[in-house]
Amino acid sequence: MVSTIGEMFLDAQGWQTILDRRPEIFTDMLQGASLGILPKKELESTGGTMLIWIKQVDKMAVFYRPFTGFQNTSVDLLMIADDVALESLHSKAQENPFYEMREQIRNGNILYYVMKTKNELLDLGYEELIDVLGIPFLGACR
Amino acid sequence: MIAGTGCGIITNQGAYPDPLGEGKSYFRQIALFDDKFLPQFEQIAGYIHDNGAVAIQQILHAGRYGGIDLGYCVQPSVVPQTLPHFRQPREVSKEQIKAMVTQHAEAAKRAIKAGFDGTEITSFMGYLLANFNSKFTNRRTDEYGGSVENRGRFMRELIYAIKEAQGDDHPLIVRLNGAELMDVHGGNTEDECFELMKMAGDAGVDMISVTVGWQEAPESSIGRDVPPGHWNRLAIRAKKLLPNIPITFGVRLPNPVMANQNIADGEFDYWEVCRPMLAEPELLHKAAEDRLDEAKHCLGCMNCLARLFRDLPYLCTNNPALGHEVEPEYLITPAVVKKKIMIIGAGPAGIECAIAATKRGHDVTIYDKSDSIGGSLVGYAAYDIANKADLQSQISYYQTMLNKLGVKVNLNTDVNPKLMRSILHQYDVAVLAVGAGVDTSVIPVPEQEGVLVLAADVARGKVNVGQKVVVLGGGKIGLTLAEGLTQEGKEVTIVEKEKRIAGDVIPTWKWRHSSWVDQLKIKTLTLSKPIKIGVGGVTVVNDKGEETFVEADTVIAASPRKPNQELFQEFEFMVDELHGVGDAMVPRGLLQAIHEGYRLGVRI
Repeated sequence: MVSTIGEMFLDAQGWQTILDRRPEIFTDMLQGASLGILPKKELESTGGTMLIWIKQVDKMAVFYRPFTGFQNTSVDLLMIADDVALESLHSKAQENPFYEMREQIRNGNILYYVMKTKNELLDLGYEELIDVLGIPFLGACR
Repeated sequence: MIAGTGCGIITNQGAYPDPLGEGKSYFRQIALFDDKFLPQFEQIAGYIHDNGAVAIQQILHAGRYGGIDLGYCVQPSVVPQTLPHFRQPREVSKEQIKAMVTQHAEAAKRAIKAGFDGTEITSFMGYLLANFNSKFTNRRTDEYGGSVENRGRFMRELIYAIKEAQGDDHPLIVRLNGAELMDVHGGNTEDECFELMKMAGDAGVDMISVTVGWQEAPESSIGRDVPPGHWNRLAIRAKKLLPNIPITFGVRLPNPVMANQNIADGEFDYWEVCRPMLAEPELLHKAAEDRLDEAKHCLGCMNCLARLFRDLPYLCTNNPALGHEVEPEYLITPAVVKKKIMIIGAGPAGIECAIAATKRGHDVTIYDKSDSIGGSLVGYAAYDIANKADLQSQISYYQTMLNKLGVKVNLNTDVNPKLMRSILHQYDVAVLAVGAGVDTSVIPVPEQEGVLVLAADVARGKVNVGQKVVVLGGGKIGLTLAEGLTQEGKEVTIVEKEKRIAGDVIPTWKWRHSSWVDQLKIKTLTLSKPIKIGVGGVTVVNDKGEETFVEADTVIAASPRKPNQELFQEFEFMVDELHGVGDAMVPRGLLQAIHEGYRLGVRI
């Protein structure tokens, strides 16, 4: 049983449940493709912890790594989530967390950064995930 | 042609100032880091002066959006991209900052040497200067970061260096955000934007152009979905803040009459115009001659910018000749042999062809089976939730031009082989511009009469739509109808056979449609197709074989589209020249209809 935001963030099993519910999103991803989630309050910290989803041979799996700044981050996509977003995602693990993630991105509670170019992300198999999350993929042209 | 638009000041496209190309933001961008480029700049300045305008050269280092030919871009701090089109950032050192300032100053000096009257630097959209100014991308801890004063240091150094390099006789303009629209990312507040504007004024700039938004901003700023005049408040604030500095403005302000009134009201001093003049290079002349009804309008579709995001040259949906001004094949020239032309279809493709051909001296008659001109554009305009007026203005323009050019239009006339036999040999040329329909052969036969209707009939208001609606097809036609009907209070479900909706939508509108579908809570069933249209609803099966019953009073067939090509074979031996244009060839969209219609019209 987890109750605090910190516990939710470190609940690897809970996050794995979210990933296992929608395996088709990650089917086309190459092994090693990775997405990081960082609590917003740890963005400025040099010793924060980042949740990482890394594509394995058979599925997307949950890991934790230290976050020491943008420059040292090796993930392909990075999500910066505030407490509202983290709690909301975790609490909706059994419902539709990816839809919730999309909503939280739209609301600005989750910020995303792309650490690879368009072609690199396509080659790594991110098209489905980016579509599910509603991220403007090829230029926003507002 | 650009020099002859009638503008009082013409700003040439931004030239990147550094030899590495770190400042280069798009394909075919010009450079100004060496005297070897001078001849082309001299030529451009000469064109502008020959037409009596003031020549300004913009110097554009794209910073975060630069390095387009490189594997990286440069920024004040490493803040990763939010759009994957752009390159990953490297932080610049203080030595590099000094070099950048010098490069800008040298480029400015070079522009003046080439004959330009002044220069412009730009801090909007997320380019280098904006990167220094904004809290979002400037996280430095040295004298170039932190406070607004420090973040603005790079701008002040640029202004001082350029002013010194080009001399007091040559004005320097700076483009500055009145709003970044980057709040969620921790960007500058509007107050900070205006603090920076004041700082630029104090540093000695001669004119300020007020702009809005970054490329990455999560909300619209210049598209059709933003009402004209929406951002004027920012120009008004700038004018109040800096009453002694000329303020220029033009963000989502496409109408010259409105802009003229704004200037008269003291909101700003000069109207800036880009996209509206891409769509209609003669806009100012037509405005001055009270002929604005003959002017094409920018439709706010953003296809021009979408092309830049593909590393392709600009084009304009509404102006097929843009970028081809020196190619005779795109110009309206007198026809050597005057012909009698019948155009079948009064949609954009047919009318564009008619206008161009008539201007060349041909005798043109349009036939259409419906009771009004506009083709499928009528439906889009009726249901467009972004801004109906923009699309309706296109139809008004067409009506005006057909009337003024004396093009004969026979509405309510179904052109078929019988009609063609009755008018045999009356025409030298026939153009089939009959658009596309829906292939209903792949849709289940409804068990109840009147339930299944065609999208085109809904769009033109020919049929009544019930409260519960299923739209078959999640492309642009289905989406436009679904959104409009939902706004009217209908309960709409979209059934789409592909994995994603909006497959045929242009890139700049894909995200808008996706957002609207979410906001309006329109239910979408993808990877699904109807297998039965029964009493009270539609049975849908998905790719896993699972069946769902969706209640519906009305089922709208919006897909798959098929070109109306039947007449091609029928007419082959009935007329000398037979051509096809637009969706009648391959169902696509407005851009292709306009461009193909025009291109055929200038070549018959």
